[in-house]
This record gives sequence, structure tokens and C-alpha cells, in this order.
Amino acid sequence: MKKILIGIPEWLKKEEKLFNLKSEGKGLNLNILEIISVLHHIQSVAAFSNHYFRRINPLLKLVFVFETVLLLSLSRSLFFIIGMTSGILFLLSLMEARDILAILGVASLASLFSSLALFPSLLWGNYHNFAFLITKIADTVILLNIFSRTTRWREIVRALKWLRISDVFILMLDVTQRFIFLLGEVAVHMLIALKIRYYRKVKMHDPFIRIIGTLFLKSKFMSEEVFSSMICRGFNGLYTVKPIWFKVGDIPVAFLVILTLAFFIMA
Amino acid sequence: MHIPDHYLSPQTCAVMTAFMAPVWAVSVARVKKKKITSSKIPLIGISAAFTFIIMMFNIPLPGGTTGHATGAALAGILIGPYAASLAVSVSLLIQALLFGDGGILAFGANCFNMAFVIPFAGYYLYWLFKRLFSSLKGKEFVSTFLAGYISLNLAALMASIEFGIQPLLFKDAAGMPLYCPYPLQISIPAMMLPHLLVAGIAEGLVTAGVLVFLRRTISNTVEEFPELKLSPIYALLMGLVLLSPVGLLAEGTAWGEWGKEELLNMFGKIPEGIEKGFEFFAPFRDYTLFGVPEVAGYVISAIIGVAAILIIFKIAGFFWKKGGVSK
Repeated sequence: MKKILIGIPEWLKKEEKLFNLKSEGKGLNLNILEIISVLHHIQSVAAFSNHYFRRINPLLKLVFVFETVLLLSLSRSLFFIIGMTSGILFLLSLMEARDILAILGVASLASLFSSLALFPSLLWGNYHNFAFLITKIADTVILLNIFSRTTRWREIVRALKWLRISDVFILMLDVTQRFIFLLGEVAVHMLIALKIRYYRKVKMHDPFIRIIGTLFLKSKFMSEEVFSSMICRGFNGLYTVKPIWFKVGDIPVAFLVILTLAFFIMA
Repeated sequence: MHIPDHYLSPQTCAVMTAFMAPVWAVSVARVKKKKITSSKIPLIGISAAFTFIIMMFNIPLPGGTTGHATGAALAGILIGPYAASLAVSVSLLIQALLFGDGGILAFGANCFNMAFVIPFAGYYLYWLFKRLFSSLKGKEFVSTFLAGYISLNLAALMASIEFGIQPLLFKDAAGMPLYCPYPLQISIPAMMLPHLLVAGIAEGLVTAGVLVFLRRTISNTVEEFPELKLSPIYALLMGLVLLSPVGLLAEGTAWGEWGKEELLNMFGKIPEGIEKGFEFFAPFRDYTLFGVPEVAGYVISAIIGVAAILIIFKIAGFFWKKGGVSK
């Protein structure tokens, strides 16, 4: 028995600190959850829904959002800003509770950071400008979030194409979104694998750096593969999408676009 | 009927709030017990938004004052008195905090009058009259009209008593009233006559008219778990929001809702409690906005109020669902 023990190397006899999943795996769990929640958001927007906002013509929605953001940033009229704020709040109130909470969270955060940045101007007595800017920022963030949560990505791409945005730009946006989703899935798989296989105490940043590096390499290979497959399928640099058809239900939104412009001019 | 701050003594306000606290607690418990699912919570929010909008339609009353229907009886009949009590309370809270309509201290008293008396009286009177007139052809319309009419007048009576007991109970060393200066013999007829003659009829018509409209679009009440189609109700709500400036046509102040200057002109002296009391500055005071035309300000206020109420109830429904209530 003694002889056998002598044969065991020194490093094997050392007591090792095992990786405690409960306490040390928290960072890992959080990362997995964060990535899954982003992927879920992308999927949930893409999922079929009967919500009225999701059935509105994407082009009209995009035009309305661009127009409102632009006019809000230009406006110095309290009437216009408060009027648009009330309208945007009403649109928000028609969303689902989960979306309302998420949008309000983002808008509050944006308003808070902006308030901190603009705080010195308060000391100089710029109360009106301070209130104007914070309201404009909150309005813009809420509106963009409503748009992003009620519009499928491919619909945004179609709307951009209709607005004569450059093909290269649309292609970049489209491919980026798809890669975010694909690479997100790969990252989740790698993080889960890491969680299952790690039993020794290690520096937590080390595996994450490796995952990021691996993702970068994977993305390079994937982009090459995607581009090759696109060429194989006859891609010639032009990005074609299905045309957008207008329906009767789009008339109120078209009216809203015109009304917003008229309101800006009048106010 | 929205009692401003300092027209009632802090003691009266405390008693009314103490009365309402268990009412709210029981209402929440009863709504849970009735298993109103999370998807139905927005309907309670819509009812709250309805009451908010209906209260913006001021009508001229005899004596140069104004009044309004509340829609609380309608909410009581439609979603049950307990849910309606919560809905009207939230509506009153939004009115007080954002628009300065009704006092912060007097919130409990306002809730007692409009979120307790009207929905409960309206609901039970509706069922009572429905049984009494069971053989009548238009029993639905008559029952709802009478329920709305009587319940609003009951609330007006309560408010007038709350005003009227102030000079009897709270006086300074010189015997001058500290808060509302008008005793019962003035407050009761001053409030009851206009409500009996005009505002009560408006409440009855709103209750009966809207209920008939809703009966055509939804067959049951929330408590009977219907599969509701909310789009016609949203459309009605939007229509009311756009029509809300009609409420500006009625000039004058409602009885008991005067500002300090108006009270000085009428009574000759501002009671000490009112003069020295704190003043809450609501962001959209009296449904107006500085630098915005009156009509537009009224519509914007209506939209903001409705949106705030809907958002509050949707978020409440979300946490309700999270808290274990079935979908």
C-alpha cells in the first residue's frame, strides 16, 4: 500500500479548490441569461402578433418615427412638445404591459443620464431648456422603442429599401442583425459548455476572453461562408426585397404623419 | 364634487381616509377572490379612464356654478362595485396629482364620495330596480338611469354634509370658521338642488346610454368572465377624449371648488385654515398648460390622463399575473 502511495506524483496530492457554481458561477449565469434575453427579444419581435401596431405598414411607421424625432429635435414650442408627449404616451399605453415596463425602464435611464449631463445648465438657470431636452429625449426613446418592439427586422429593411437607402447600407444592417442572432446562439452554447465542464477554480476573465476570441474567428468564417453562398445564389450587389403594399388600415397612420407635420408648422 | 385641500379639516380628511383604507383593502381582496384575470385588469383601467374623461365634461348648473357626471355608477354596474371603487380611486388620484382637481389631503374624502358611495349605491340600486321593474319593457334603461341619478345625488349629499359640518366643528377663538365657511343649511341645498335638477340627470343618462352601447358590443360584465373585445371601447374612449373640450363651454366654478380669490369675493374673508394651508402645484393645473391654447390644453390633459391610467392598470395587471393570478 505504501509503495503505491509513493508512486503518486506530487501535483496529484495537492488539494485543489473546486469551482463553486453557486457562488462563483453567478457571473456565468448572468452572462447566459443576458444573451438569452437579447435573443428572446429579437425572436419575440419577429414572432407573429395580432397587435395593431405590428400590422401597420412598416414604411409609414418608419416615416412617422423619423419625422417625429426630427420635428421634436427642431421644435422650440412647448405646445408641440407637450402635444407630441401626450400622443406618444397614449401610443405607449396601448402596448402590452411587459413592453411598457421595458420601454419606461429604458426611457427613465436615458432621461436620468441626460439629466446628469445637463445638470450644470440647471445651475445657470436654464430650467426651460433642461425640461425641454429631457422631455424630448424621453419622447424619442419611447417612440423608437415602440417602433423597434412592433416592427420585424425584415420589415424595417423593406421600408429602408423603399426609401432609396443604399443597398450596401441595407445589406450591412441586415447581415449584422442575422449575425447577432447566430453568434448569440453560439455564445450561449459555449457559455453553457463552460459551465458544465469547469470544475477547477480559474480566473473568470480568462474563459470569457477565449469565448470572445472564438466568436470573432467564427464570425469571420461565417461571413466568408455566407458571402460565398450569396455569390453562389446569384448575388450581384443589388439588394432586392418584396414590395410594400398599402392597405385601407394604413390611412389613419398616413393621416397621422400629415397631421404631425401640420401640427409642427402651426405650433 | 372634487373637494380641494383645506376646505375640510385635517381631522375630517383623516377620518375619511381611515374609512377608505379598509374599503380599498377589501376591494383588492374581492377582486382577487372573483378571479378577475390579469387580462381583465386593463378593463378596470379602461373604466378608470372612462370616469376620468366623463368628469371632464362640465355642465352649467343653476346658480352659475358647474357640475359633472362621474361615470362611477356605470363602472360599478359594468365591472362590479369593488373593482369600480379601485378604478375611480386611481382616476381621482391622477386628477389630484397631475391636474390639481381635488385636494391631496382631501383624497380620502373624494374617494369616499365618488369611489365608494357612487359605485356601491349604483350597483345595488341597479339590481334592486331591475327586480322591481322586471315586467317593464325598458327595464335596463330605467334601472341604470335611476341607479346613476340616485347614486350621484347620494354622493352630493355626502359631500355637502362634509362641507357643512366644518363650521360647526372647527372654529377659531373668535368663532370664525377655520375651513369651509358654509354650514349645513347652506351647503346641502346649494349642492343638492343643482345635482337633483341637472347633474344627476346627466349621470343617469351617461350610465344608461353608455351601458346600452356597451351591451351591444359586450354581452356580460367582467365578473362573469366574458371574452371581451376591447376595440369598440377604446374607440368610444378616443371619441370622448376628442370631445372633451365641450366641458369648457360651461363657465363658472363648481360649488365648493373655489379658489382663494373667489372665496374672498363671496364670503368676504378667507378662513384661516384655507389661507395658511400648503398649496400643491400640479403640473397641469385645472387641465390647462401655460402657453398652450385652452382647448388644446384640455385635449392634451385628457390624453395624458387616460394614458397614465391605462399604463398604471396595465402594469398592475402584469404584476397581478406575476403574483400568481391565472391568465
